[in-house]
Amino acid sequence: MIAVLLTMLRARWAQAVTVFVLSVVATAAAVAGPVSLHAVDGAMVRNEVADASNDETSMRLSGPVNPSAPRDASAFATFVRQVTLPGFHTIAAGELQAFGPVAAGDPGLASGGTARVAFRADVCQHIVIASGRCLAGALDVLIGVDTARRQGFSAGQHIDLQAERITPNGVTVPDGRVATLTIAGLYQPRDPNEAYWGSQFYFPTRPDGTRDEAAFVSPSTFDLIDHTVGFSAADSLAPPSAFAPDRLDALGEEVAHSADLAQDNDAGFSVVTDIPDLLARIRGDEQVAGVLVPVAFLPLVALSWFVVFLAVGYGVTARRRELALVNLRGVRAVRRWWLALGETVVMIALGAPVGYLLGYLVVDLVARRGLGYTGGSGSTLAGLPYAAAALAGALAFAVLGQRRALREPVVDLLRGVARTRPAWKSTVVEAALVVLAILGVLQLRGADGGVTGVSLLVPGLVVVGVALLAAHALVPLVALAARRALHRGWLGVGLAAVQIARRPGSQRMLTLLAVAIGLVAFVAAALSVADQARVERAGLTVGASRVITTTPDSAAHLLSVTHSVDPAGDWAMAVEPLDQTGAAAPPVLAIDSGRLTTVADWQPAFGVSAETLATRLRPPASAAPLVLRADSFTVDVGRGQPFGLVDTDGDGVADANAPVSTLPVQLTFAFESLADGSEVSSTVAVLPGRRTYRATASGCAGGCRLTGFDTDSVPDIGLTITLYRMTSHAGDVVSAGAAPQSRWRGMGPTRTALVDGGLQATVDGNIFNTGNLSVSAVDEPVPVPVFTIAGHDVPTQIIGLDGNLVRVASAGTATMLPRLGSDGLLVDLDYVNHVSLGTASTSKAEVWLGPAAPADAVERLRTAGLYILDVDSLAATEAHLDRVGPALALRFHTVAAGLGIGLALAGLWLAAAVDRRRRAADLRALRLQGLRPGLVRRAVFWEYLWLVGGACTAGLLAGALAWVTTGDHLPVLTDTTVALPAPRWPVLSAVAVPWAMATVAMLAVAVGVALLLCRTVRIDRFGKG
Amino acid sequence: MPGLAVTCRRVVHIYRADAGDVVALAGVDLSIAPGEMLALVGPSGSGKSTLIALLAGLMRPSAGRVMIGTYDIGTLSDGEISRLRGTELGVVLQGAAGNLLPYATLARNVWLAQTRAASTKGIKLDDPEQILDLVGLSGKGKARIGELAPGARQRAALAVGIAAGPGLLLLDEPTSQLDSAGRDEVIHALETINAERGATVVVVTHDSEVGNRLGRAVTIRDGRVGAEGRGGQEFAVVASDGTVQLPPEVLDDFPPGTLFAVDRVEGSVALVPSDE
Repeated sequence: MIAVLLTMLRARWAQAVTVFVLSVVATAAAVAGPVSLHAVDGAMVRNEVADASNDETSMRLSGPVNPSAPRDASAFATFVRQVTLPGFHTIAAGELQAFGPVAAGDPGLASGGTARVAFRADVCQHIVIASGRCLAGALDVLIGVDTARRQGFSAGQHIDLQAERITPNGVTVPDGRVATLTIAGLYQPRDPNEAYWGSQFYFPTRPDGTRDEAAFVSPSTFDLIDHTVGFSAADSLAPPSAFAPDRLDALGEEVAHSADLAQDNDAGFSVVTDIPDLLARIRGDEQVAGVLVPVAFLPLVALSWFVVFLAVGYGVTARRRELALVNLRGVRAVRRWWLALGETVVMIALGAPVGYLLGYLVVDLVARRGLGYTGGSGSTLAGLPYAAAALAGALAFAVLGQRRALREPVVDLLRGVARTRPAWKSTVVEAALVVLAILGVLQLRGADGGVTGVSLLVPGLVVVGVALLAAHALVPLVALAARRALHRGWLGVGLAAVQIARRPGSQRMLTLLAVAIGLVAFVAAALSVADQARVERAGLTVGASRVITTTPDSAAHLLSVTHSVDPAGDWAMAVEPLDQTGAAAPPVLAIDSGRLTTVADWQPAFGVSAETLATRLRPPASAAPLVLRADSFTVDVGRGQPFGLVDTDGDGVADANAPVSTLPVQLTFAFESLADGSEVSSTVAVLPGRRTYRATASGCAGGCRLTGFDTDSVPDIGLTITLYRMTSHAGDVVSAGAAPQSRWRGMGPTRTALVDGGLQATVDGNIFNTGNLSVSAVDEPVPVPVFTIAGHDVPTQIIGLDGNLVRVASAGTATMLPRLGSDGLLVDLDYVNHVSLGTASTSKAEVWLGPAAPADAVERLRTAGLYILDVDSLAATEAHLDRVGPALALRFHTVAAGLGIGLALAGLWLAAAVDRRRRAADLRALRLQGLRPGLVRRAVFWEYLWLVGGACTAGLLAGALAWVTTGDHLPVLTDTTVALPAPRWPVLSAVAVPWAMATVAMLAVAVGVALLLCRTVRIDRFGKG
Repeated sequence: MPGLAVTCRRVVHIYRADAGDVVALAGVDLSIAPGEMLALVGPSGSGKSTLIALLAGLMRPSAGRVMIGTYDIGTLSDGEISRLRGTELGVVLQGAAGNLLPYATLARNVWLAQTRAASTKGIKLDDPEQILDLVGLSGKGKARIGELAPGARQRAALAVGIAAGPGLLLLDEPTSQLDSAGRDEVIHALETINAERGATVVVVTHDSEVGNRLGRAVTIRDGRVGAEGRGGQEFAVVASDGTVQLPPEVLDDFPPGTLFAVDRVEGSVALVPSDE
């Protein structure tokens, strides 16, 4: 039997090779799914880790350590040992804040600048010594090149430093004796952003572009510097292996455990890490990729099976006589099946291991070339179950392809052409597929965000369903066209149509080609939408073309700088996130709303126009600001105390006329320079009773906005300050009393009222009262307008720039807001600044740059006085999104769609090859009956062109319908962390071009097989037979 | 294996078709003795091929009984018929090429036809080369059909037909595409097989010479046994229902509907046309 089998294979080698190739593709596709997932996971984790901030790849352990208390140091060391994760590289560090450095002996030490004095293990390996040497002996110090240049230091010079500390009253005082150190060398960081530095910000950039480097010493020198308040730290850096895809869960648990340990300790030691954020991002990506990648290859496996089915079916059609012969000789059923199936089974079996290896190789290649991932394809046995399933499926479809012929009576087989029977079984299967597609669509559209892997097969099912229906509809249409064409005497076209309409398998071939084209169209649509979604998502996440993060800065200064570099408001917008306490509090972003339209990356998904939002966030001010235009002013102030609040004589009854303290109360008026937003304050010592005081306000000659006033303390008995009038030295009235009362706002415990033509601010007596008397001048609308997300509760107050509560009211809602996404509030930065007392700042400040920003915008801002910490950009975020899970997974969809077209072409070629002899015989017979060669040739070409043309049209329709019905319910985008809906429609050209390419490929193959058939019939290109 | 007897009794076969049923056989009565050689002759469409297809078990009779040896074809299951074709029935289809796998050698083709019999107890099979030798194809075991002359191809088909040592050999037009030399070769091979193996041989042919050479030629006309020629003489045959077909030349003078008086005259029967 084996000899017969080998003879068969030799005789039909082309068909055998085709089945072999199909088996290879099916197995490779089946294996490629899980293997690709491994590669995508690996590449995604690598990219996420590479793009992660230092905080996301390290743990910062820190705590106060007093060198004079050895127990502190050992406790911290124990803490570090406890919470450090295995495999993490820990870099011991410590720092203190010091006055200096100044040249040794310089008496201005305590009144000069301050510096961070730090030690960090292995620091010498991560810096470049510009002059001198690295740390070697005791009392050595390394000074940064920029710092040395500013202060005129050189290597070998002696400098003085003195540790400092901040008293509970907020005053900075020396914390030990002066230490005289020797500058061992001047250094530059090799790479300030290197993971080694953790997130310590040792090298902030100054407005002049130079750095403020920390002064590095050795640990022993650090201990020699006399101090009581120091911080020990350890940056525990995760090695790349810590983020191995199969270790992520364990890593998450270990990090959580470390955080728990840190929380349990009472020595003030802490663990700060954003590793959980990175893990959450990776898990989100993995989740999407885990669904998207296998789904890319499942249709390919199914398509391979279908082509095996078609190939075997076509092969059997050509082998009917042979099967009849074997049957006629009474060969036993087992041998008969073997003879019928043997060559297919052998080729499928031979193809499987090759496909297995090819699957790994292709994925490895795509991973290397497409993803730049060289981490291998994982275990070589991981794909075995999938390969086995693909193999079993291919065999099952092979059997299915010839089951009918094997069960047919000999007499029917001898006829050569299968008897046409009502194909109710295949009709039932096709109907079931169509129904399944419809049910799948309904379920997918009804799913509440819970899209599962099975649901992701729905687009494929829709493509198949539409292709089946189209094929069913096309064949009768073609038959009708055939009749009409023949009736009109168009023999070439008519014969071609007759052939399509009557040939067994036309419908299946149409379906196959249409499905392959449909998948291409769908994948192209998905890719296009995903591309757009990534761009939009990047825009939403970043907020503008570029976003500059600066050191904490006052809103006034930030506004002043952005307005000075961009007076027209075309490209720079100041933004400050307002820190809100409580996990449930929505994030608040304060923006310079007047510039929103020109700067922010605005998207239709926000549901409101930038113009509307900007207008509503900044309605006209409630009053003109109170402006002082002089270096000094006169203020008419009364001081008293609330009545009946204190039992001064101890008789248990509150005294109505408790004596007023004669000690002066420090009353500070806060101004904000209109020129640069800097803070100007003037303090007067207010005595009991109404008096007039003079005070200076340096820097206010150009104009300062009065932001409010406060006192340094409030006596237990309480305090009343009444502001009657403030005038400049030139007599200009800054504040004429208090009217209207809405111009003023009492902060905290301070109440305000209009009394005797003045504003009376009162803080009631209370021995537990820790608040000051504090009043801000109001010139913005109150409550301050905020824009919120539709459907979310609108808070009545938020925490303002100065940490005080600010009353807010909704000015409108949006579906989403830039940077904030689907949760948060936008408020005008200028208005929220006006509500604040003084020139308050938040922990973070940003400048958003719009598309019109000049290339040197960052430099201009730096020059204007901003400390730039980081620059983020749309392009960088888009690049990052292109490198993570879903984007990577979609690349495999492209590969799968391409392979699908390859399979369809192989199927078309095979069908034509198998059918060629019969077709040639038919055409020769027509020639003998007098049909002109030109007409025969035309019939051949039209036949294949109609077939391919119909399939490509039907495929496009199938892909389009699949997208229409499922496109808006699939996670084809980027990540799951931002709930930005994807664009609904792809860019037309993004679908048209791949579709056209696939169509051209199919037409080329169609022309090829037509030419071969013509050659077989011996019709030359001039139409002569 | 000794020859198998063949008996057909009132065999009717009707082809079902959308345009209407077609009666191919309308009551065939035929007996063939074991080891006999017989030719089925008749015009195209008379039912010869249908009859041989019934004998080969490729189809079941619509009515009547077809016996091959002790087997009633109409009552056998598909499996039993398959076994019968693999062991006791040899079938050679019209056109030599249709009987052989084109890519396999002659020996391999013969071997394949033997596989069923080879796995059946009690059957001793000749070596494929011996069988090829029997049909005059000595040393051609490694040849493929495409390498043979037309007469040799038909003998190769014959070799496949007798590969399992059948008791009944059925051949459909084995000489139709051969010249006289080729035809003689085939007839000679059939005679050899019949003589050496004792197989019953039934040949469907248009060639009267073949009928003459085989000794007995049964003419099928309009789905019935119309006549039988033996020793060069043509006889009418009385069917089991008593009907007798008149030779065509007689029918020219006595068209259908003619009334005859049947007179027995000294051991013979005279048909006397009515005067009406």
